[in-house]
Amino acid sequence: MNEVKHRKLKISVLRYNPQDPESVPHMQTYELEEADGMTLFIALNEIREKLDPSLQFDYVCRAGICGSCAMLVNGRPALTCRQLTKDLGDEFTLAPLPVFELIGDLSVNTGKWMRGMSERLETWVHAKEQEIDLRRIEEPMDPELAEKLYEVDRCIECGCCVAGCGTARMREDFVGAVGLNKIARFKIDPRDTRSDDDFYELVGDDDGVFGCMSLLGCHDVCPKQLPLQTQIAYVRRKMVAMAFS
Amino acid sequence: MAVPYTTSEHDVVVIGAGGAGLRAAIEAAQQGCSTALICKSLLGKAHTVMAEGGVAAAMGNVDSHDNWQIHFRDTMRGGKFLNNFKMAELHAREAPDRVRELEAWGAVFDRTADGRILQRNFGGHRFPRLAHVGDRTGLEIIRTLQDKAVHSGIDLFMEMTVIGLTKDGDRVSGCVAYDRKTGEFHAFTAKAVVLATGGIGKSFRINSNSWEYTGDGHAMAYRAGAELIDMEFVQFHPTGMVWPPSVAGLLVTEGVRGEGGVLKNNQGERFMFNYIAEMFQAETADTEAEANRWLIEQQAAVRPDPRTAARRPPDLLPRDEVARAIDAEVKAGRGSLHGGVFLDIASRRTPAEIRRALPSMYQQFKELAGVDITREPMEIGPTCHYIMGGIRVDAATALSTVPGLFAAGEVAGGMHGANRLGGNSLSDLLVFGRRAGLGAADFARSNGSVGQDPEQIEGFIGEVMAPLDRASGPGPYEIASQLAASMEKNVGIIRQADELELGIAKVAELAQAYRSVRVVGGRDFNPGWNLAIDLHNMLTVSEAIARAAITRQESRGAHTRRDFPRTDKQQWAQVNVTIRADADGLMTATPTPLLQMTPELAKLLEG
Repeated sequence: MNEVKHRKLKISVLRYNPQDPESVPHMQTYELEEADGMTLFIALNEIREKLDPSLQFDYVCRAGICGSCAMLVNGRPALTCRQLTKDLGDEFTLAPLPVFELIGDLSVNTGKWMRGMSERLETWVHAKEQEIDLRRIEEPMDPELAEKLYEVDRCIECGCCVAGCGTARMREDFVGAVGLNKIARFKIDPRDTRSDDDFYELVGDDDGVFGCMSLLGCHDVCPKQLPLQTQIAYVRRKMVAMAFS
Repeated sequence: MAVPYTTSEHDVVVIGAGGAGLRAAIEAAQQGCSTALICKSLLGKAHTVMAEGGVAAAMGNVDSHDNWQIHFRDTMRGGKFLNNFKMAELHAREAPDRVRELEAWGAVFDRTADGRILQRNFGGHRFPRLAHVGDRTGLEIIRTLQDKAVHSGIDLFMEMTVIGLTKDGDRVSGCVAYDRKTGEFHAFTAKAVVLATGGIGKSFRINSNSWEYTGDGHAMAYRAGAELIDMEFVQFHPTGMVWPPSVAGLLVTEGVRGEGGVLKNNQGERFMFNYIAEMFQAETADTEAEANRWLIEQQAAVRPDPRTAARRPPDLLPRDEVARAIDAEVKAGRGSLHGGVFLDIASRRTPAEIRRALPSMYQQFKELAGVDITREPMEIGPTCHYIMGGIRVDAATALSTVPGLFAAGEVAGGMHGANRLGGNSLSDLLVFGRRAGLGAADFARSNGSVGQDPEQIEGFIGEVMAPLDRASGPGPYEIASQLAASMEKNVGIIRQADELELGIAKVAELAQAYRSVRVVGGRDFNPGWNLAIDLHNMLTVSEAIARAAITRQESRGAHTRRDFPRTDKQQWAQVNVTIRADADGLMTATPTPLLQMTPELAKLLEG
């Protein structure tokens, strides 16, 4: 292997501990040497292990599947485990996702937000029968429909779309692209018995689909490249039709 | 001054919110129990999301020759007959019901042309058996269970780490936890506790596990007096990423091989044909021609007649066999540049097929390694993935040897014996998660309330507070990285007595250092402090693994001894190694007899 000369990275992190009355938000800069194929997740762990054990940030899977590690990288929402440092300059900044409750430094409580959204939008299949007959084979589903359903069900609830949303910054109860995408998912699921009326009750207002200003920051920053623009347009078309019916 | 803590009371407390924990909590709540669910991170982020390949269930949707008896047989053979046969039987019988139930709750699965749940091939499974959705099955299962749990009336406690189980006499009476967000403590009182804390992968340097996998449930149960079994059996998944270093260990799904991917050494040779153990010779292709015919038959619209069908390629042997073969090739100098071997799907399937069947793998390699798997082979090597060993439980109820303490999923032992088949973990956590929820609910109903002893609670709190009060001492990161390096070197894939002795001595040395571990900072969201708490558990399970490994003087399944290379047909075929604390609190490892199988089930294993 050729020995490559590694860059020195200068990483500025927005630090603040809301638990501590003495703490004031400030930028702190860490310097470390880049490694081959380094992800931001690895860089942050190195900071924590070698430079500053108090730095707060979240991660679980380190493979872009769990959606725990989103933060603002140079102002743009991204997953740290999927962000290679080689795609960034020698100096860059990290900040916590906006909108969500701040736990400390780069750690935010997306869980609380997602749970609230999930309860409000009732993001589960509303089946006809309460009792499931396990002896019966499953209802058939067209393979193409299954593929279509899963295409929207790939969401990892990382919060990037909410953090990149203009409406979410102004309206506290806006359900975000993550919520509207879920509505689209359950709407095309033949197992869900809810009618367009029911969905209108859930998202037919300014905290729902009519709050969207079509800035489409959500679409641009989704680390899973979900077709959010299409899904929101789909829900809006259906809901507009409901409003005039 | 005593540290204050808050309290709550429930019928059932479930610790861990991966697949098993969620399923257990849903069941307990449906039984009418007040139920608390505690998770170490946020809900829906548990390690189960990483499961890629699918959930094994003999539904027979793709090949109607499949049935629970063959699934049982495959599981027992994969586990080298050390499995708790009752668990293996219940698992094989009930897995199809659990998949159908999940489907009715809204899970999306890939479908057959006629709309049934599609099933794919996987190592050690005789028929296509893994219900799946692309290579993201775990995420779909977690999402479905999470959506179900949201409206099941469960009290949820997120970002909380449990630090100890409290007892009322012999019986478990609850647990003490701290909130990572605020550093505050909370004592749960519960009539029954379900452990669903997952595995131990962080004890090894190269692993596929998330940071949460520090053996918390294993260690706390052990300290509460429970027995652990089969701790010597740690599964190294044959295919983890090896390059670049920052992603080393990340899982490459077995689905790659299920979809036709083959293993090659640096000579371009398909070396797996040289590593077919006697036990698998009858059902494994021994020429490239037959293995290639198998792939063509699998893709055909009509299922092959089992009497004339090509046998499965050796690339799909159980994980222990493949991991050892890769290890041997690398050690023989036939490895890749970065110390792995090659996994090639590019030459076997079209780019469009690869992107559709393995979208996460495609993305993972493209983004993180700069490798296009539709054009180039992947570089892969073994990674610590799963522990077969765990808390000894009753098959039907998931009750441990401590009254009121239940366990399900990876933290429970017995189901998988000496080696787990891929796909049997997601089915395990659904089948036994439900059974643990039922068992705990029954226990809570038929046993009265428990008393909580403040002294025990304060004891646990005092223990974890100590590192914050010390003025000097080693840091937790230093101890953890030394532990993981020693475990990999001395207690890894291939073992022998002198190295295992070194491994045990190293754990003892680090446990001694741990007594004076020091953490800078306070209690609120202090990652260094969190690690110091986890480290106690990592040390306990590492000792258990090393002690069990030196006790079993044979090679079987995931446990390979250079000094005892043969699989014993007598003594060691009939025992589990049981770990428990003796009267002085010292760890002991003792062989204990296996359950005796019923003749009807034994008959299924013949031939």
